[in-house]
This record gives sequence, structure tokens and C-alpha cells, in this order.
Amino acid sequence: MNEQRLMPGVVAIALGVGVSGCYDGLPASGDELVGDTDVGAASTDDGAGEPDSGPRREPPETGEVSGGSQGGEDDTAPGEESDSGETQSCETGVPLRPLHRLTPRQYRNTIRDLFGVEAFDLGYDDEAPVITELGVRQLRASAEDLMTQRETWSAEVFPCDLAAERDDACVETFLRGFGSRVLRRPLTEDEVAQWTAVYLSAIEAEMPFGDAMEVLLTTLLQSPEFVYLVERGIPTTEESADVLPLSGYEIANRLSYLLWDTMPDDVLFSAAQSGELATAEGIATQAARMLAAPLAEEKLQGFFSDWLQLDGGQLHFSLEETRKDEALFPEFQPALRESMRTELEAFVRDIMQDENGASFERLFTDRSAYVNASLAAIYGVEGPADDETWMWVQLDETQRAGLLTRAAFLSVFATAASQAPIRRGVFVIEELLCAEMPDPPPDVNDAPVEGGGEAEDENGETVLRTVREEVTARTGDSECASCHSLINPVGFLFEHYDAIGRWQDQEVVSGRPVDASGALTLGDVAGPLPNAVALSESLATSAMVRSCFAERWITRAFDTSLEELDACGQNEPVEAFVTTGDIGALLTQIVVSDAFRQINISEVGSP
Amino acid sequence: MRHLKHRGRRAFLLGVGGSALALPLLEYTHGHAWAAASSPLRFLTVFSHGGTISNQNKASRHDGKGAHHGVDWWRPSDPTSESLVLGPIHEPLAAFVDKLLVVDGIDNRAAIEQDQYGAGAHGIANITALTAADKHDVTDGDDVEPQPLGPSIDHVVAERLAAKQAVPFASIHLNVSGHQYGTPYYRAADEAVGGISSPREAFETIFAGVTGDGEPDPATALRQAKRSSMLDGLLESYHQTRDRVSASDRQTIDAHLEHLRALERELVVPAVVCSRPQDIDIDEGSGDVIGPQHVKLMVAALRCGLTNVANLQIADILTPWTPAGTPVPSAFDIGHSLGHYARDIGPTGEHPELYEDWLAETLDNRKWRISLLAQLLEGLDDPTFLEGDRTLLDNSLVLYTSEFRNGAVHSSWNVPVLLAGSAGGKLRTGRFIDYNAYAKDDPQTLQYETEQSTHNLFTSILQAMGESDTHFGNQDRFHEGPLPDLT
Repeated sequence: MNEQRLMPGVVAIALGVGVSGCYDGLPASGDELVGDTDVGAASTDDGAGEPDSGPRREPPETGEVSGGSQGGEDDTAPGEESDSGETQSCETGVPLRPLHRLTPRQYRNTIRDLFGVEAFDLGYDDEAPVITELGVRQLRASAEDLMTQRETWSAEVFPCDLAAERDDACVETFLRGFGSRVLRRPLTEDEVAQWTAVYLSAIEAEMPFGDAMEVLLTTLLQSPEFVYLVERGIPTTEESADVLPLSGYEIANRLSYLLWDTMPDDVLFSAAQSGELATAEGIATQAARMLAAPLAEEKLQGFFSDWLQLDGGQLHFSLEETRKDEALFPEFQPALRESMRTELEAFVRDIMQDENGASFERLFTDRSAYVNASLAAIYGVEGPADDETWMWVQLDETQRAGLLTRAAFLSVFATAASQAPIRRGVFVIEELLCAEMPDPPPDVNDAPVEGGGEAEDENGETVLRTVREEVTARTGDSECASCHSLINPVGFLFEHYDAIGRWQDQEVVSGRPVDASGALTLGDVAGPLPNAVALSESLATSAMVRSCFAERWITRAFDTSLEELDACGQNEPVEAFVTTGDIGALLTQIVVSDAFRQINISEVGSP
Repeated sequence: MRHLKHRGRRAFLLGVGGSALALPLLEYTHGHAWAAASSPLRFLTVFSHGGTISNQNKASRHDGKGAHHGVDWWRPSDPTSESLVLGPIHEPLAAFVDKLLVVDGIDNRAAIEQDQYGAGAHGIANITALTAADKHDVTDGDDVEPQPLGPSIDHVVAERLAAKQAVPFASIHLNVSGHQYGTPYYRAADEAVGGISSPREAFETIFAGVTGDGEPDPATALRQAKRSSMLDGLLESYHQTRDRVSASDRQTIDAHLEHLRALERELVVPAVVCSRPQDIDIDEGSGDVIGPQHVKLMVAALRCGLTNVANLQIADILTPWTPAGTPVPSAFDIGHSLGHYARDIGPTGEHPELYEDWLAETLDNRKWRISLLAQLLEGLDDPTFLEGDRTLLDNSLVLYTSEFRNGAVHSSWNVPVLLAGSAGGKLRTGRFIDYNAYAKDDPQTLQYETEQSTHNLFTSILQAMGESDTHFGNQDRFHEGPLPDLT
């Protein structure tokens, strides 16, 4: 269960606290976003006669707000205290990478590839930052369950007959063969002896030979070298070395878990063995092969799905679970949701597999769409005759551009009846510009705005209010305005798309004409804009957006933040990507960078 | 060296396989030596997310004339009565009123003092609700979230009791799952405890190896022997890895080692001989199906001596199966949206027309959650299962609470606290205690001030469990020591 997803039956992650107040003034191009923030007062009184007699807290001092970092500009010199108050070991240029535990998906895929079984659900679903007791139990239960399903294994696991009398020689053969695949690298003599002792202890407990071998295998499957990516680097005689090169096998593991979410394949193991992965060229060659392989597709689609929050977020359900008003949108059935997902994945795949390079810009500007009949209707274009037939079409360039104007994204960032400008605006600011927004005060009215409330116009006639008008009314207070003056103009750019992503000139609920004028209020391409198509085209050219996108990938590659890497001067992949917008090149640059090929051991063995 | 260290345990296991404890085979009989001795103590928590029906604001109360509603149905109907008169939400507990304590006037100061709005945002309220701990912000991928720097009370009690009353599982955590903004249960700083949502899975984990007839089960004995060998190998290899990683990674490995030791504990404690409960076989379903299964499992686990501490977490779920149903539209179909209407349905609020429906729905919703507690108390208070002349409930202390009083305003003041059981006769039950300084003169006052916080509640709990702690939690307390007047 991913704790971040808002799904029935799933625990949602705690909302972060964030910095109080919002940005005060827009940063100039190239500067980091400055945290000179307005201090927002706590929202308290709710009506006459009910004074809040509790002590009023002073909002905390605000410091730097993390934003999409630019270039090498960072006020934290290597070795100095960073904003978090923790010293970063960065004289070396290689950040400390936290020990990585296999995610449930990686665990499942690894078992699939090791044993040649269908990726059935083994019950290991622990995604907590530090493994829980339940997770440790699940690892044991999974390994034990696997042993009961031997007939489903297509890989050759045991090199001898388990029904035989004791055969100690088999143990070493097993360890150096399958055992080394489990641990994803060759074993040393000491390790062979250590694991053999596990087998021997089972024999001493008077277990049959087959059971003792099973004990050995299940223990390996729970061991740290299987469950985690334990890295040591290639030892050196230099006593005070803080940085070591990673071994070929360690690089192979990093590559395969980053790009494929599974263990290395035989080709990658061979490359490790032969020394090919000791060079940047060798790594780049393997990375290119891996990116083109089907296994990369799932990982890449997962990244985009995460990025667009299509699987749900803190405040919205996934595309598959989101509720829509059945009377207003009877067509929004499971089949249509699935079609929207298919369309988006095809769009991403088409861009990622482009022979000329995977263009970041195209993600925002491309008008081609893979549609069936229902989707063509959503987009208002000519399309196939039925829902089983799919074809590529060009969307109306005045109405549509890339990802931000596609139905999947728009449906998820909407309410049951209407578009959701606040959430769409916050998404652009937080996810595309990497500009962190503070939380709203806890007791604000967060009931969805859907338009249609009654109001009087200037003639005294009753009119129904638009979503835009209701959002403005709710967030117009001076204390709300500090953040909403930044959020709302961005979100309003999307007003032409209804709750299931169809173009609307009049709103579904209020019937009133749509006003989609607004602005990009932050960042290097800030300025007034007429609608989301113009927004998409602006964002496609923004250095800040590219830098933010690169940061997301780097975070995944190193389990650390761009700030840590920045302080270590490892920003070449980001700078290059800002210029070229080539996603494939970004990933390649990440995996050939020093930070990816080396390990910082300055804290190993210290108290 | 390694063999010497573990040989003792292996010999012990073989001994168990060969000579099961000879005890009379009663329904849910105890398999442990301490059962025959003086009354063992247990601790339970039932954590109900999302607050309760209360007009508590921050340090005052809404009068119901503004946008917010004005009733508090958690409080006893007659707060002045010597003996406890249950409020509307607590009606399902009528049969146990003499064994209950409703306590008002306890603040979650750790949340109030550490939250930027001075109220208790979701994250902070959850992480401090049972820890009363200092918080720090932790970056996890692209998110920053608050995490506590200490464990929750249930974990501490579990460790203390396990040292005195050996059990295979120091504690168990079960979830009626759904939407919630975090969890209050922490094993240690930053390490939340997830809990199990599937009653069947929980049952198979907790009752694994429990036999009902005293005969050694060869399959179990073999599995235990295998696990013993596995654990030997794993403890050794994790210890070695520990020495090879950086200081911060060592914490990761240490946590893993702690959990391996918990698994080892199950192998060392004598095998439990106890009738296995039937029909705990459902994996998932709505709360009204899952909740009772979890309760049944908790009672059985405690009776069988499989644990000393049992925790039930109820997410902020809607309850369409209750008589009032779900007439109020709630965004995203989550209970928290329902809670937020509380600030909009007074006469000057946005939705005064929803008031009656809202009251009916939330009352039935909260009563349903309390009904799970009632089922739990019924199992614990069963007069046919006595320990000496006390029921299991008498020997337990049950804490029912939430991270908020009024969920709509995220009030961490006056958090709901309901205690059941007397921890072996230590607490004087059947009363309502109100620490609000203004309540003495006017029980219906809208003013509020207290000098008690959850730090004191948790200290009282530890002392009730026979411990001598004088403080629990961080420094955001009014005073150290237990709550006054509980015993």
C-alpha cells in the first residue's frame, strides 16, 4: 500500500506542516525563490460572541524556502551546515546515499526474475522509510510461501536432488550459483563459509537435507544483501579515502533498480563481470539498452503517473477511484477511465521512444493523441467508430496541448461536478516549478467549490455563480490572499476543461461563460496568459520547470534531494537538461555522473 | 561462538516439542506460568480518528449561535452526578458504566505547542496523540512531514509488561482501515507502526503455532526449528552489515535487528496451548464486518496470553450501515469531510440546512465506533473467564481516544479520553472527572482552562501498570506526575 495515495482502505500520509505564509514577491529569472515570506496569522474567530481566549502562537521564523534550484548557486558551501541543520559530507563531491531497501514492487519483480515465476502477490507491502516489524514478518512469510510453490519455478534453483541424503558439496555449488544471483554478486570465500554454516545449523537440528537447503535459501531471501542495496565500493589501500568507486556489480544493481525496478539481467551481470561498467561509455551503452527494453516502460510510466498524481494524492483519489456526478457525466465509467489512462501512457511512450530523443518540450506542447471513439468525443475530434479501435489524431491546437490538457490529468484534478482551479494551480506551482506551498490553516473551509451558488448581479437579477467567482469569494480574505494571489491565477487558466476534461465554453454547473484568463505567477516565465494552452507552451520553455523535472529524477536515483547534490557540485545533469530538454540524455547523464558511480564512505565505521 | 550462543535455544525448542506443557484443556486456557500467579495486567488502546461531537474550539467552546454547532455529546449527560451518567455517544457502553472513567480537561500540549497554527494540524496531532513527543520534520522523497522523536505509550507499556509477563508478541496492532491523516502508534522516533488490516492475516500471524490439544504438532516443531536456524543466520549477517554502513544507515539496520529479535522472542517463549478462535477468516470488507473480527481476535489473543497489549485503530470512516446512514454529502467520501461540516452548520454557517442530518449521521457514526469498544469490553468482562475473582477487564486498562476533540477546528485541547477497566483495582471507576478549572462553578461553561495534559495521562497509565515513572513525553507539559484523582 502506498501511503501517499488517497484510496479507500489505505492509510493516507500525514500532511506536512510547511512554512507559514506565502512568497512575497516574485523571483527574478535565474534566482532561487527567496523565502522572504509574509507571516500568515492563524485563522481563529468564527463569529461574534465567540472570542478565542487561547494563547496565540507566534508563527515561526521563516527561513529559505526550497525551490527549483538554479545552477550552482547555493549559500551552503561544501562542508557547512545546511538549512536542515545537518552537516553534509560534500568535500568529496559525492553525497551520502541512504541505504536503499527494495520497494514492494522491486521485491516482487526480483522474485519474479530470480525464480521465473509470475509476479504473484507475496504479501510484502512495507513502504515505510524504516522497515516495520510487520515488514520483517512479511519477508519471512514470503520466503516461506515461495518454498511451498516449487512446482511453479521455471528457473533452476537447486543444483541437486533435495530428496537425496545429505550432500554437502551441493551447498557450495548452490551458493556460488543461485546464491550469488540472490545476493546479486559473486560471494567471497568467507561468505560461502558463513552461509554454509546456516545450512549446517539446520542439519545439526536434525532436519532432512531438503529442509536444510530450504532454510539456506529462505535465509538468503531475508538477508541484508538481498533486501537492501548494500554498497561497499572497491577497497583501496589509501587509508583516508572518503570516496570509493563502486564495483561493477554495485553499478549494475543501481542501474537495474533505477531503470527497471528489478535485479540485473544476465547481460548486465556480464557487463559487470567484464569490467565494462567501470567506464562511462560502458554504463551509457547499458543504460541505452535498458531504456529501450520493455522493463523500462513500467518504471517510466510509473514515474509519469506519480508526477501527475494519477494514482491519487493527499487530496484526491486516483483516476480509477475518483467520483463524478453520474447525472452530469454518465459517460465517466470504468471503461472511459481506462481509456484515459491508455491514452496518456501511449502519449508518454511515443515521446520517450522518439528516435530523435525523448523531448521534454513535447510533453507540454504535442497535440497528437491516441484515441478511441469515447476519447475522440471527449476531445471533440473525429475519431474511430468504436471503443475497441484506436488511432492517432491531432487535437485542436487552440484547445489542447500536452499532458496538462489531457483528460486523465484534468479528471483527477477536479471535483465530482466541476473543475478544481485551486488544486490545478497548486499542482503547477508545487510539482512543475518545485516551489513548495505552505499548508492552509487547519480550519479553513475545504468543501469542494462546484459553482452554481446563487448571487445577484448588478441589475439585481439572480445568477448562478461560476467556479471562478466562488473560489475568489472564498479565498479573497487578506490572510488567504498571500498564497491564493499566487495560486488562483494559475489555476484559472484551466477553466475551459470540465470535471472530465472536456472543453467547455459555458460551465456545466452554472451555465455561465468561462473566463480562463490568468497568469503564471512564479518562476522564470512568469506573466499573464490567456489559457492553459498558452501556459503549457510557456512551461515547455522554462528552465525552472526543467530543473524541477530533473530534480524529481535525481531524487529517485539517489534517494536524496537536489540540494544535497548541488552542495556537492553534481549539477551537470541538471544544467545539460535545462539546455537540451532530452529526457533520455538526462537519465544517461545521471547514471554516468560521479555521484552514481562512487560511494561516499566518510561515515562508515564512525560512531 | 555463534553456535554456543544459540545452542541453548535450540535445545529448549526440542524440549518444547517433546514435552508440551501439561495444562487442563479449558477454552482459552493460559499457557504461561504467570497466569497462575497474581493478576497479570494488560493495556489496550482503541484509537478513533477524526475527533468527536464537541463544540470545543481551541481554549473555549462554541456557543452554537455562530457558524459552528454548539453541542458536546461526548460529555456525560449529567456532568454533576457523583456516578457516571453516559452521554449520547457512549450509550452502547451502558452495561459497563461502573467500570468506566470519562475524563475531560486533558490537552495534547505537545501538538498545541509545536504546531505553527497553535491548533494541531493533522500530522502533528497524530504523531503526538500517543507519544507526547517532540517532533522534527523529515524529508521522504518529495515530501516533508513531521515525525515524533519518541515512542507511543502503547509501545512503552508493551515493553515493560513483556519484561514481567513473557509473551510471544509484545503488542498487536489491528486496523479498521480507511482514510486517516497518519497514525499515532510509534515504536521509536520516526518509526510508525502500521498494523494489520486483514483479520485473517492477523489471526494467522498471532495464532501461528498455537495448538488446542496439547499434542506437539510436528509441522509446527519443524517450522520453529527452521526459523531458529534462519534467525541465527540473519542476526549474524545483519550484525556484520551494521559494521559496514554509515552511522545513519546503522539506525536502519538496528531497526531491522530489533524486529528480528521480536521474531526470536516468539521462538523462545513456551508454546501456547489454547483453543483457537473460529471464524476469524475475513480479509477485507466494510468496517462493520472487519471491526467485530478484530475485536474477537483481540479478546482471544489476550485470553490466550499471546500478548499483553492490544491496539485497535479505527480510521475516519463513514458508516452507511448505521440507522442514520450517510445523508450529508462529504467530499471524497471521507469521514474528515463530514467532520468539517461542523464548522458550517450553525445558524450563520454556510449550511444550516444540514444540521439535523449532520447530527444524526455523526452521532450514529461515533456510536458505531463506541459499539466496537462495547464488544471489546463484553469479551474482556466475561464472567465465565476469571483470573482469580477478577475479569480480564478488571485486570486491564483500556484507553479510547482520538487525535482531536472537535475535528472541524482540529482542536487538540480537551482531547477525548475514556478509560475502561481498573488495572487490577487501581483506578476508581464509574465517574466523570473534569479538569476544566471553570467547570467547578458552572458545568455548562463555555470557558476552558486546564493544567492537565496527555503527559500526565500517560504517566498515570504507566503507574497503573505497576511502573514507577514520574513523567512521560516531552517538556510541553503543565506539570510532571500522574493525573490527580484517578485512583
